[in-house]
Amino acid sequence: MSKPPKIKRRQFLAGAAAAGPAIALAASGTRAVAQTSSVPPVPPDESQAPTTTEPIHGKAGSDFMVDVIKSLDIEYVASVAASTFRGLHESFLNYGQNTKPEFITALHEDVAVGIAHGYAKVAKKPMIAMVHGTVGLQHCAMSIYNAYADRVPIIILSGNIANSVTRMPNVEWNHSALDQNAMVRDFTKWDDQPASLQAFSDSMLRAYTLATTVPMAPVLITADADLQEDAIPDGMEARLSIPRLRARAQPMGDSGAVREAAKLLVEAEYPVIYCNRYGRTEKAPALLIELAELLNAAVVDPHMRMNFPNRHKFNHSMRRELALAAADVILALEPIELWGLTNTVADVDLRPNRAMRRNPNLKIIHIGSEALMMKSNYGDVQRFASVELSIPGDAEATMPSLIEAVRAELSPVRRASNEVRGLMLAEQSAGLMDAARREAAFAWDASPISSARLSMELWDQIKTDDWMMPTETQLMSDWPYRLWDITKPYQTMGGSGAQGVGYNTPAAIGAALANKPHGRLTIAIAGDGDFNMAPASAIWTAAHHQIPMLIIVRNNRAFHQEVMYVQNMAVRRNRDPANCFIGTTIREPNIDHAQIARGYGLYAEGPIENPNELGPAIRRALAVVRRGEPALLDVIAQPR
Amino acid sequence: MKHVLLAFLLAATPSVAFAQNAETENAENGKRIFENFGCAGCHGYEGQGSRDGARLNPAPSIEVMLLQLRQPRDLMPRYQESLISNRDAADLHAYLASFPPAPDPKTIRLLTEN
Repeated sequence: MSKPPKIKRRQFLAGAAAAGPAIALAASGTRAVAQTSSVPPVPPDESQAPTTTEPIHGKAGSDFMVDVIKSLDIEYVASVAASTFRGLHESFLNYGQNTKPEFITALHEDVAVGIAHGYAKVAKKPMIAMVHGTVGLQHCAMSIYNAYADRVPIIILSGNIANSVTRMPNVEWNHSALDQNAMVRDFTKWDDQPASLQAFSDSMLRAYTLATTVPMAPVLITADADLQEDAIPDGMEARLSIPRLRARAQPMGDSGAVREAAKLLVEAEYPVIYCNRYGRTEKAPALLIELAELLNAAVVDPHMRMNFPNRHKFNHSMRRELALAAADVILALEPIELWGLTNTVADVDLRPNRAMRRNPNLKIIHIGSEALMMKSNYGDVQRFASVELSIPGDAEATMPSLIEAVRAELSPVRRASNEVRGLMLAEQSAGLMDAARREAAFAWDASPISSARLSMELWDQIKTDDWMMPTETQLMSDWPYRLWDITKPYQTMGGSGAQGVGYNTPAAIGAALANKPHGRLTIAIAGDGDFNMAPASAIWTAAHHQIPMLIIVRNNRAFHQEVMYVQNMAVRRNRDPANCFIGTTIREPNIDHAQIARGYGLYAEGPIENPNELGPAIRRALAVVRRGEPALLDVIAQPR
Repeated sequence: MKHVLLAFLLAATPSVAFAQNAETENAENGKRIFENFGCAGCHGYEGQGSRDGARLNPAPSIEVMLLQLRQPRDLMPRYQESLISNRDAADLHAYLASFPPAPDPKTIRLLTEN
């Protein structure tokens, strides 16, 4: 007996919706004509509509999609449930048994992508963020932009109902588009909307390969809903194939140019290494230490990655301008703002361009992947800078050959003179820690609590743990970098990339997810503006999935950068600066973040205003985290 | 150049002499200005300074403070006398001078043991 012909699920739904109440009266036993292609040529009429759909025997299209995704060894898919990918959702859970990838439930697409952003920076591989067609993709556009500007790989999956005939009236039309990928195309590395299962397979492999090849960035695949939901037509599965994911090398700088760079560095009187988005893997800091010690060169690190230990004798980040001003050669590794190394635009009337105080004989060597991917619309390109030697390629991948070339260039005489410079550099950096301690003592007992006090109350209780801090620190005056001992190659991961506010909490959750199997203690410090810009519901995901982490809301009750901006504008115009708090502060009522957190299922305390109460509160919260749960502290803090 | 500017400012503003009279300084008014005008935003509520603003503890001399208000270096906007009069500046200075001194970091366990 032959199997009954299969009705396409979405085709049936379209017919059912068109038939309305009459559906119940439709002739029973009448079946639609089986379709062999994924897209029906004409809509079924109501006389063809069955009363029930036939169960799919064998594989659905989305089952095969899960096979493809499993071949990529992806651990997690963060997502907000939605109809345009319901086929894939079900396949992940039942066909894929909710492992590799495991479903991470988010309550907002911006959070799902933010989690994937933070996860990739720690795990050093991408996870999936799966977002609803149109509206979900719109929700997470900012987070995608952050990840793009941060050169972080994310596999974004979305759904769409391409065939207008199979869309139910009303909502499904709103959640479908001709080319939804267009809205984020300016800040994804590649996107596709494959029209068949084989095309999906090819595209996913291409997407993964592109996302994880420097320059890394998010990629987007929109999976057609019919393709997901329909059964794989008889005989087709045997013809489907999944390309094999193969090992890939990252782009290295040209060997001749690298030798030239080595000569310049070895001959320099005062070389400085400026490393921004340099550290791509956990091998990066050790390589940079090797180069810096070989050259006896100062290192300046703006902390966009874990690049270099903060207490290393050659780390001159806290005397950045002095180091850069003295340099006769700067080696800029993935620098982002190359022009800004020697110039600035003053934030004063008329915004004058100013050359910074630099050595007149300064030569700049640039090794970076910026030139390998650039798009026109957004300002991610930064201002053009002409440098003596530009070497396109991944800085970390180029580092071993650069070290080898430097070693080959170093004569015994040069090595000896460099060691003298090394002694001087060590002497210059020796006082930085004591100076920071002296600075930290100011406002030590103040309420609101100073950023230095907050940093040290926390450090005192985590310093013997295997800890990791996934959040930005510049808005708290970089105190952790000034006073902590940051040595391990995973202990920090830099910031958002595009300064899209709302990055820190979701990214920290993603980082904590990646830290969890290693047993690392994740401690996140997020400003209140940032915390509230991301949907606060992000923390529910941490509670739901038992992702251990301490979140400290550093609460200055304002979008404080904007307080300063409005004040600055008013004073420039000789108007009342006292109005700078209107529209910038987050008061009246004050937000009770602890109560919010408890509502989302976290242990929480706060608001904590007395600095003497902070240490005990951290101790209690860390006890919760150490037994595997998230906790939150709301700390009333000084503005910066 | 700094001293030339300072001399010019002092010469051009006779009220500075009045402002420097400690008996007439009003630190409460200085506090109001410091907090309402957003000074604490960059300099901190106890003048501890930050990445965005210089430390004001201990307070600079009133001449230096006035010079910075009228002819600021770096990114601080210029406060004209119509916004902060020399009298108000003196009050502001009195408030800066009231900030508690920082404790010796050697007496703070979290700074010595870490």
